[in-house]
Parts: sequence; structure tokens; C-alpha cells
Amino acid sequence: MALTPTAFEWVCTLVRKESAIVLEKGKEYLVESRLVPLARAAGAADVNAYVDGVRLRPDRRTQVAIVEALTTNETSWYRDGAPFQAFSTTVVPALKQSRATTRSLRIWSAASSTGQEAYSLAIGLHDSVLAEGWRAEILATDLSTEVLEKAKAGTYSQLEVNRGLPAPLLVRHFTRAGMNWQVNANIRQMVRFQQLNLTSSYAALGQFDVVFLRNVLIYFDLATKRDILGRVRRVLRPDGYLFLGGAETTLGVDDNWERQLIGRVSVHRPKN
Amino acid sequence: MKALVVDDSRAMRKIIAGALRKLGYETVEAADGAEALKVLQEGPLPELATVDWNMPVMDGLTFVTQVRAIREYRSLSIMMVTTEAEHGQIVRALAAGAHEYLIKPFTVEALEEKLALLGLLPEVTA
Amino acid sequence: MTQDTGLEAQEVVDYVEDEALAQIVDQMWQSYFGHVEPLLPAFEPHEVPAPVLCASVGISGARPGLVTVLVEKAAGTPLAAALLQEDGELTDEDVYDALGEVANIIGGNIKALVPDAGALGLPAIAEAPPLPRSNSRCAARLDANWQGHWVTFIVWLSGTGA
Repeated sequence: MALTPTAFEWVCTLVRKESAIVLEKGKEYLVESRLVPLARAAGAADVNAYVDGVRLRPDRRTQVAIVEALTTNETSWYRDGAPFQAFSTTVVPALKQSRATTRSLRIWSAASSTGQEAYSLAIGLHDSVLAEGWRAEILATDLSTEVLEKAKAGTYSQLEVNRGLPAPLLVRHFTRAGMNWQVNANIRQMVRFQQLNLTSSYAALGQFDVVFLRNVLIYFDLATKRDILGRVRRVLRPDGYLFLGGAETTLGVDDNWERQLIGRVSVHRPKN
Repeated sequence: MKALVVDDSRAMRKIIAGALRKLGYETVEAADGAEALKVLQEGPLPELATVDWNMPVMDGLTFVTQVRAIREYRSLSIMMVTTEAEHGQIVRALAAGAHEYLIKPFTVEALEEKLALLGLLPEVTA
Repeated sequence: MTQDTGLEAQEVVDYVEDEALAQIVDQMWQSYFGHVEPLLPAFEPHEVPAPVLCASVGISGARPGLVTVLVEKAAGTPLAAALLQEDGELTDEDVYDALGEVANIIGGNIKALVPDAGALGLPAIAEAPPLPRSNSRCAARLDANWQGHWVTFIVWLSGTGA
């Protein structure tokens, strides 16, 4: 019943291909323990049979389930809370002034992954501008359709919502769904999820007041980074805000941005 | 910074106090709400109290309610750390005056992140 | 696991399923014991060999229940040592306390799945599994192995109007 070397190898390769995570030798029992529930649910005789089944008859859904079971580490809700604080305490109030006539805000979460960033922004906007009758729309895009499906559902495990999410926000904007917690419908409705490769055209996206492009530029080479930043600038309103990841900068990549500090958080404004 | 860890399980007190000490806290413990009130009366006021819900003698919710009624303890931040995971229970705890709520099982990272939300993560000088 | 009384049994069993129990136990194990060794779910139910220790926590309310954690007595000390992250001399009290907390954590999370649940009791430790109420059913069960020791988690629930 213990996982055969062939099966383990195959699983490792699959996981590395899909997620870049490397499962170490010696962790066979760990892999096995995580796959037992899947194997049982699938009615397989044991984990080997389950893995051999999908190894010999490839089935996308099963592959995804396996990768998820082995790589899902709960991500903290606010991996780094500071940008969200800067957004709520400084950026939104500033935009409330400058958009006082249109009373409408558009935000782009450009590497939205499983959706926590987009929903965090939605919660922030709901509790501030929406309450005053403003309109707010968040576009959340990601390369992966699988991840977008999870994000659309807006359902997170207890371990995930336990991390970095203020309890008052949890009770106000989430409802328990069995073992998990789901973002309430009124917040989910504020976010539109769409598949988008960052190297493709942004022409149909419209204009934004704020763009979050956090921790994704690192995956691209310099020329592509420059291209992306240039095109992001074209969909950002002239007085808009760009948030990059904590360690990221436009320095040396694109000179058309001006860096400003909000507390210890950098935001980038289009230079005119 | 000082923290009061309130839980009837010695194992849980050890886990929480251990994690807090690694973050730079001095810790003191109590096994139930009544003991915890005594600790507050007798010593300098901690910055943080972590409080379990289900305990003998005096449960966590009662402790929180009583503490919140005492003006001198106003600066004490209270985080409930409990296995009570229903939406309604969290609402009750926050309404009683808890500032934060950590559901068991929790990881040490989760604890740290909650402290960061409360502004109670001591700046670590490397 | 399902009994013959049809509707009432089904009603009880549906609130908490094996899958939910497995998830709760898994999340707890990852948080507190994962650094030692993971818990390996067994494919089939497996009797925990005597001598045993059993920690149980009661759930009051419309559907009274009991969550039990049954382990081989020999597993008590390594479990407590892992939870406490301590290698030194562990007393019986340390072991009972650790097991009790395990039952407490699982019990609380199970309680959240049961409608109209009341209070969670304080953990009790015994050297035999408790006798469940006559009208309660085994709603969920997880048999697992940890470091060569067998562990069984069971959720007993009663129907309403019991």
C-alpha cells in the first residue's frame, strides 16, 4: 500500500510542472497521507491505484486535485497588511476628493490568484465609499483559470481566514459554509474575475483609478517588465495609483513613474 | 511587553506563551477567568491577554465582559484564542469587548499576524 | 454506520461527515503535530489495541453529541511531548491535558457544524471509550496511524427530540 517509487516520481514531476514546488525524497509518506482522502473519494483500491489510474489515463481534474492537495498551504489573507492600510487610509480618501463628481472607482487586481487581494479591496471599499452611495468595481485577473474558479467561489478554509484577517471583518463579510468560510454575496458581486495573460492586450479593460500588480513582475524578464509597466500606465488614470509588491520597484525598468511613500508603503504615480 | 495567557489546558498555555516569548513578550499564565482576574489585580497591567473560552470556574466570555467593565484595564488588548468557531460565537466575543479572535487550531504565523493587526508585534531588532 | 431507523438516522449523520472530521483533524494535526510526523488516515476501520486512553468532549443542544479521541496508551506520551514540544519527564497529567486539548479542538470545530448546538463541555479522560447514549449514532469516524500508533476519532450525535 505504500506509494511505489514510480508513482511518487510521477507525482513529484506533476507537482513541479504545475506549481514549481519540489517535493523532496523522503517525503513519500507525506504525499501518501495527503492523497488517501482523494483516493478514497475516487473509490480507488489504494493510493497507488489512484495515482496509476491518472498516470495511465490523464485526467485534468484529477491532476489538479492532486497538485492542490500537495501544495495548498494556506496563504495569509493579508500577506502584508501595509498596502491595504495605505489604500484605505490614504488612497481612497484622496480619490473621494478627486472623484467627487463621478462617485465611482475602478480597481484592477492584476495577479489576483485565489482572490484574497481582490476581496480585501472590495471589503475596504464596501465599508467606506459604498456606504456613501458610490459605485466601485474591481477587476481581478489571473493567468490560471483554475485559480480563478476558486477565487470566484470566494470560499476559504478556516486556516486561511485565521491568518491576517481582522475578526470584525470576518464576521461582517463572511459566512460559514460547512468547514469553510465564504465571502458574502454582496462583496463577491463587487469583483469581476477574468482570465488574462499580462503579456496580452489591455485595450478592452477600460481605465482604472488603482492598479495592484503585486509580486508578479518577478516572473518576467526586463523587456517584458518594461512593456507591462508601460501598458499599465496607459490604463491607469493620470492621477491614479500603482501598488507593486513590497520588494519591487519601477527603478531601472520604467522611468515614467514617480514613487511616493505612504508611511512605509511605496506607491507609484504616472509621471506626465 | 507583557502578556497574560488564560487557558485551562497547560499544553495550550505552553504553546501560546512559548510563541509569545519568542516574539519578545514576558508572559504570565492563568488556568481560568477567576485566576486571570486575580493576576490582573495583583500585577502591572499587561498589554495583551489571550483568552480561551471554555474553562472551569469562570469562562472566557465572562472574563472578557468583566475586564471591559473596569476602567483601569482599558488599555489591555484582548484576543480570544478558542475552539469556538461559529459565526455567532465570534460576534458575541467581539461584542463583549474582545479585540481579536483566533480560532483553534492556529499556527504560530497566524498568531503573529493577529498581533500585527493589533499593533502588538514588538519590533524585532535583528 | 447507518442504522435502520431511516429518517432520523440520516438527519443526524448528514450534519457531520467523515470528510469534515478528516479535514478538522488534518488541520489540527498540521498546526500542532506536523513538525513531528503527519497523521496517516487508514483505509479501513482499525481497532485501537488495549490498553487505551480516551479523551471525550460533550456537545449540548438540540442534538447532543460526543467527540471522542481514542489512542493506544503508549501513544499518550509521544503525543503530549509533540504538542508541548518537550522531551523531558511527562506526567500522566501532562498526557491527559494534551489529549483533552486535542478533543477540545476537534469538538469545538465539530460543534460549529451542528445546527442549534449549545455548549462545548470540558474534556474528560478515561481508560475506556465512553458509552454513547442509546439514541445516538456514529456520525463520523476517522481511523489513523501516527508513528505506528493507532488513533480513532469518533463523532456521536443524537437526533432531535431525543
